[in-house]
Amino acid sequence: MTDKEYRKLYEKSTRDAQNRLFGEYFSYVYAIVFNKLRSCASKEDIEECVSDVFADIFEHFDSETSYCGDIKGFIGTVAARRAVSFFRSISAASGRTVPMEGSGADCIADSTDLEKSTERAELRSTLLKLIDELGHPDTAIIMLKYYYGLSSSEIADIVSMESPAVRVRCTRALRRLKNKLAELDIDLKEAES
Amino acid sequence: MKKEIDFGYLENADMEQIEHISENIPPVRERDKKNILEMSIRKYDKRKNDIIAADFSDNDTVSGSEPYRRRHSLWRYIGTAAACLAVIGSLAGGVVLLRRHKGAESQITEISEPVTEAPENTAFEAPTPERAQEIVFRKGEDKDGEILLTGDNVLSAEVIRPSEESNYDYEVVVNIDSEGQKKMCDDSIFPVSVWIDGKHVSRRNCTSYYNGQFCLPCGVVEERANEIAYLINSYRPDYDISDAPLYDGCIADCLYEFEKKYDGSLATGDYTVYDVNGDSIPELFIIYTLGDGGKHYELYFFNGERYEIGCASDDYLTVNSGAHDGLVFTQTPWNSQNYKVYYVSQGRVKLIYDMNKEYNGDGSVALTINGNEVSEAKWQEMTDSISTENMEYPDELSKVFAGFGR
Repeated sequence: MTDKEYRKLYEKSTRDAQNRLFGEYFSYVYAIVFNKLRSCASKEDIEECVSDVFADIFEHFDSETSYCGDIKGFIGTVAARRAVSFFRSISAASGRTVPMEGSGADCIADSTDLEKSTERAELRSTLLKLIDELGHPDTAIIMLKYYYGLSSSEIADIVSMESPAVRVRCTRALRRLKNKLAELDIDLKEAES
Repeated sequence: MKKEIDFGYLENADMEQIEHISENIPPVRERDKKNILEMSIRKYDKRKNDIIAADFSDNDTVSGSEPYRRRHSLWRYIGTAAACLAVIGSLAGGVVLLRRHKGAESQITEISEPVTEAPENTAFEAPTPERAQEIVFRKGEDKDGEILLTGDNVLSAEVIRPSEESNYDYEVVVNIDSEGQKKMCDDSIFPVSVWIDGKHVSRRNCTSYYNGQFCLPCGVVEERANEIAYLINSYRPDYDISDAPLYDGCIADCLYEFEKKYDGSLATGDYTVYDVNGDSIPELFIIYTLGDGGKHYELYFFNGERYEIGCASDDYLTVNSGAHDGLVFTQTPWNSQNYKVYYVSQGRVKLIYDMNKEYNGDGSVALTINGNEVSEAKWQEMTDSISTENMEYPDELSKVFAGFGR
């Protein structure tokens, strides 16, 4: 969707425009927010943050008229910034932060291993590519179960299947994924958990 | 060497990969998605209202708007009289029937038995509740406690349940206006009890207020929560048609007819009374929504007998601030491509200018006024005279007259 399309819809009906924008970018925004907050926030917190992102976007398009072109990049930036801000507030509330002036802060070493992180990024891309090759609905089932952490009944609602059927498909899809990875000399472990 | 991975590798993906993940995979159930959308729109509306309220509070001198008066309800008296007549009529009819059917008491008893028999589980099977006539928020639990807010401060109410687990109460979330929000900033007023038509509703008192919203705990029975939300939403201020000038009563009639016309489909309705042309007879502006989200605007003028529609638009109706020059403007939002100028005078409304700006495929612009092409200088001169700096949006002074579904 471009900003022009949005504004055209907005002129006819604000709510229609907002519904359309939400429908188109919800999964994208949710994925960004989830990726940033999965380690520290509850499902409710993540939903709260996603709703904040869309409120920000709706508000922005109420006043800002200068932007032109595809709005996906803008939406991604708003979502990422809002998620980082949410992460900070949650971290501050849970006492995870270490004050700079506190004792020991200067001893925190940068443990980033560039070689390892590059290798990890490559493996991540491979894994995503192979999951994508599983096809519908197996790709969705694997992602919903192992990335978003949903239960079989929740997945069943989303992909319009029965829970037992989801479990069966998930097991088969996982086996196929393992086989594909084995061909590349990669072992997928602890996937059944 | 064989490499080992797990699904933890998917964490901390970059934006491009996130785009890949999100494609065609809805991450939550449809109902959760709907809830998030509603939450977003609620937050957006709240922020928007706050901006308008902040702008308005900077200049809170209002002229030309009708003071709010609660109707000493003519309809209420008519209703009471009709109910009395019905009771008297049924009593008289009963006496006549008894006299006609002397000795047939057993038949009458048989007929009336099913009516008096109590159905099972009647606790929440009351007939559909009537409209609430009075809503008050009181400090503390006492019936005579200090009144903090009234139904006039309530914008809407809706039922939520914090969790699907059965031991959580249903809650009615009550949104209040900016005036009400100012009063609720003081924590010492809690707990607050809510009274509808003299009855204390909600299972427990409200003990907190957050972000323009109250949460009324209503117990675990959904119907009870729905009933309370319905009653709160059903409340609306009435119009005072007693002791008012001729046109004043006609405004009330017009609003009444308007609401009747859209019965069932009207989501919100607000009105403003503003004397556009300075003839001491105010014009009536109605702003309403029909549930599709878009606002609609109508201008009514007094034709000597009643208020009649002068123009309707899906764009803002504006007037020259304080000028009372009879001019009313509409302007399409965002790109200012279309202006309409109406003139209100001598019991009629006339469209005097219809100005259009069209972008052609070759990048040129066609400027027309009433269908005639004009130069850019002329267009500029005309549009400058309706600069938004001088504009007043009558809907900013508006009052609610219909609130179902809010």
